[in-house]
Amino acid sequence: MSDAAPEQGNPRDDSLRELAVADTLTRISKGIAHEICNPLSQITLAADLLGGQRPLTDERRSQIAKVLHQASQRIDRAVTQLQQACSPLQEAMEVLDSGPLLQGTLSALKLPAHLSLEAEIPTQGLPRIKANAKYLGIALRHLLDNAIEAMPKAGRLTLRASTRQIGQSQRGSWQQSTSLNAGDLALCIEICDSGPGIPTQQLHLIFEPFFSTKPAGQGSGLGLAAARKIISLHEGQLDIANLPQGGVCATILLKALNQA
Amino acid sequence: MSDTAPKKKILLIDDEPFITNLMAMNLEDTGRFEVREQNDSLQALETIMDFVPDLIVLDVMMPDLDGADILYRIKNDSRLKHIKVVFHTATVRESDLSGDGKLINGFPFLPKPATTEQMVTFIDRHLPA
Repeated sequence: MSDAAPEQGNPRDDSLRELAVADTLTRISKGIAHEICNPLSQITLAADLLGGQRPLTDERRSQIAKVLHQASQRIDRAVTQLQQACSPLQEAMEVLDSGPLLQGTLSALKLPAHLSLEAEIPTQGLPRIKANAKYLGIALRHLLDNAIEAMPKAGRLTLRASTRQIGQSQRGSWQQSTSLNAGDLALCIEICDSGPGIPTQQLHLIFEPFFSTKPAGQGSGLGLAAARKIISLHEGQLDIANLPQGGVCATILLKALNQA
Repeated sequence: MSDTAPKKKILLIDDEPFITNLMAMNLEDTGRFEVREQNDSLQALETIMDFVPDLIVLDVMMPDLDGADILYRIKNDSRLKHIKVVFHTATVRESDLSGDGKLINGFPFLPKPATTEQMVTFIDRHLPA
């Protein structure tokens, strides 16, 4: 194409892009159906038991109540996380000291007894960032939950924070919304697990809404999509990768406002 | 159907234990079915061989082996291929399907959610005589 020629999309590329979008939408709609219709199924079947001819024993009544609560929580979680994944950040950003923010996240963490914790959050020296504490907290919570749920039997959860300078080679494949450039200082938050890792063929799907490898009812498949959306609204970068020694590490980079 | 007629054996394969549990209770309450549940898709074939159901109600979207994988294995096993299989899924709607609108790859399906009455009617329609 000459410099003077008007820019036109390659029709083949456009068709492939449309197919990819259609494929993604199909997967998302199936995910919504799965996360809503399964608990609806529970509610329907529980109603049948309540309205049935057989007298309800205490055990059965308690079982039905548990099922209804679980169904309600599951639908609520799917709707909340879908909103977090899709809606713009409504609340204002402010300048925050990242150290106290992360210490607060750490002290609120409820670590299951079968896991150990390795936390490296310096009490001094972490940078200030421009962020919304509530939403950043939600993103961290999703990533921590994800790491914890990847280790159902035993393992080690790592939460680490540091200041990092962005290298020349890092910026290439990042999200467009990222405002970080080579040479910038960034707050780096790493949340790692020692679980089985993510199958390589599924790595490209992990940020897609409703993608989940967790057992039924345990993951809506929206946590990572919501976390990425929130980090992207902070003009930061969220990457998730398998670790060479096993497990998965989520790395958040947020632009540092100063070097404290 | 008389009270003395043998109960039909129904196997529910679905990774959602709350659903299979409720469905089993509802079906057993009719007094007409003996129901077994399997929530681990990797154990599905073993359970089929052990239980030898008259009809399998199979979920589609499951971890490890999905409904299509399990169906393929059933239909390629000479000991199992005679067993009637129907799908019960949240991920396919009747409006998604062309033709008569009630088959997935030639196999009948009932979308979730379904009432017990709808499930019993569906099972009766597809149970071998």
